[in-house]
Amino acid sequence: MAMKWRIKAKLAQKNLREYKIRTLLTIVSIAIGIAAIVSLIIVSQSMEMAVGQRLGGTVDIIRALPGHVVPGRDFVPYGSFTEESAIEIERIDGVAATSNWMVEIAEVEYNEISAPVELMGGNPKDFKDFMGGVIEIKKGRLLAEGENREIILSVSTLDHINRWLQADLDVGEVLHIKSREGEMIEFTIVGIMAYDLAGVEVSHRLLLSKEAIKEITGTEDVMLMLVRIDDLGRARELAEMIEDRLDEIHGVSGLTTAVAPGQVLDQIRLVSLLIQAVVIGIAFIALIVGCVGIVNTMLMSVMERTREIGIMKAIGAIKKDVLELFLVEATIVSLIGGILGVLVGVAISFVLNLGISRYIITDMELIISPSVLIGGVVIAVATGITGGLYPARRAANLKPIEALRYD
Amino acid sequence: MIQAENITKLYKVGGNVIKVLNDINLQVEKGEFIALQGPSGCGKSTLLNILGCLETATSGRILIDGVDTSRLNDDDLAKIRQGKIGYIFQAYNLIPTLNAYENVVLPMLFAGEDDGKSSMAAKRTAMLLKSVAMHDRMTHKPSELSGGEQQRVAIARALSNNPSILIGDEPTGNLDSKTGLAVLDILINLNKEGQTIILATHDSTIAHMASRIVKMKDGRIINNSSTKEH
Repeated sequence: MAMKWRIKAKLAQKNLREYKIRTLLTIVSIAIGIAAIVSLIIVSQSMEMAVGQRLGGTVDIIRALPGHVVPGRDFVPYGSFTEESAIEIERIDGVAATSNWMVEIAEVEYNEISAPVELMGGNPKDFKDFMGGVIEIKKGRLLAEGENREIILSVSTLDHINRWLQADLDVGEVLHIKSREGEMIEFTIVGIMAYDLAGVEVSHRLLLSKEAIKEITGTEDVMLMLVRIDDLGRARELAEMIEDRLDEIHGVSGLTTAVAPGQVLDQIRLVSLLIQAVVIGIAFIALIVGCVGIVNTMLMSVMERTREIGIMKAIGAIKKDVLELFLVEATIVSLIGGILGVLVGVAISFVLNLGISRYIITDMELIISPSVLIGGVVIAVATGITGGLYPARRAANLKPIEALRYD
Repeated sequence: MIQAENITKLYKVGGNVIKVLNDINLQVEKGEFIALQGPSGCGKSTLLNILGCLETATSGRILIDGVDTSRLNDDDLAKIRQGKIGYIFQAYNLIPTLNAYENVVLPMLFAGEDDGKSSMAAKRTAMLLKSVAMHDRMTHKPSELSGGEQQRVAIARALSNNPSILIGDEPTGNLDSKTGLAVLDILINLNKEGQTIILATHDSTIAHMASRIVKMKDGRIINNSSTKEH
């Protein structure tokens, strides 16, 4: 007969309490590893989900840009489209509608302080029709149709220009945009978006009507063409056709870029795969560190308790008893470390999300899946048992008489 | 009940082989109280360790209640120690992190018994601690007990699985003579109740309280005589 499990657990617990500091340190070392893994996974999953969701509203839209991506560099703009080129594109079979957008740099002014911003203008109607999936109005409303003195902007852009202008602008307030001729044109903030387009805060962008931009800049250059397609299955094919057609219209070759929605999602997936690869790498290192920590602690413990092991064997403990006593200890330590690590990991995720929500993806929702939580604990325990195995076997295989002689 | 046949034990120390036990033959009958006497290094402890299944002989065999222990593996030897042998060490060897009660109940737990408040093990532990007059100190840890008290707890522990034989390796060796005698008293009473005991001792007064004295020298038994009729 061997010792009952319940009693082993009790004895193990007693021993762990006897060596409080060592137990605590081991728990902490495991908890750190698990917390790192859990928080990184939660954050990367949440980012993937958030960006995917926000782009999800535009799955049937191809984005065409004048310019091309130079390998190893960013997108390099080249020229611009025109209203006429859009009409040509609408003739392509499979294209449902187009929407032209202008992008310009300008200065806003408030109380005689000015700040640089990016202006993006389209037909007020298109904001809903083409950007509906990526715009979430938090306060106020979208631009009214036919109204050319209104702007909307994201919470983070508002924060930014408020800081820059030392102002406290909000919905209903008025600021000025400087036209090319130096004239100050008055605009009213009518809406605040929860996040910038697609939730990625790259530039400080004011959204307004195309007519207003024409007035400010005096140009009619179309810098972005959104093309709604009928058949999602032909997204890539259509993107190529649009590229070729636009190249043709503007007499260039390979200087137009049309991005099918799937491509964007693919890129996001690639990025999140990269993040996950890094996460797995870090996780692996954390696990090895945790495992080595347990091996080390348990070996020390076995050495210190050699005599005790000898006594236990002398009074009738079989190998399995000793082995399991030590493994139960490792399990308890790693289980507590795992649970603690998961809790800390979730807390870290919330903290990281404060920064991410503010600077990268506005109002990102944390995706905390039960599998990550359970997985964290399972990994911790697996690490504990793996690390505990060798020391436990060493303890179990000690010869009683030699162990008793040990001092 | 215990029979040692032609026991030889060799130790390798450095490059030399030392013969610690040389062709030992010894028979222990039920109810006997044997004192094993001899100078330091004569092989008393090694013989007791081999009889107590803590180590194995190089050659020869030990029969305990008819079971040849020389053919058993580590775990089977552990089970013999668990059920048939109660070992009392000179250095008490209580587990420092466990209190008196827990030390005494431990062998029963290794034997698969439960440790509930009203369990057989709990009752037996209380009874054993009472029999060595340690029942009022059962929540004390070894560090909070005197040497004599620790050895009394160790005796209770040795008895916990009702062993066939109680083996003591200089059980009074670390105690002053008064405490030593008190411990010895317990052992003598146990023997009177029928407990088979074999003790190693330097002390000839203790030896003369035994029913038989076995004298050893240089790994051999040189004298094997009864002190009184039993």
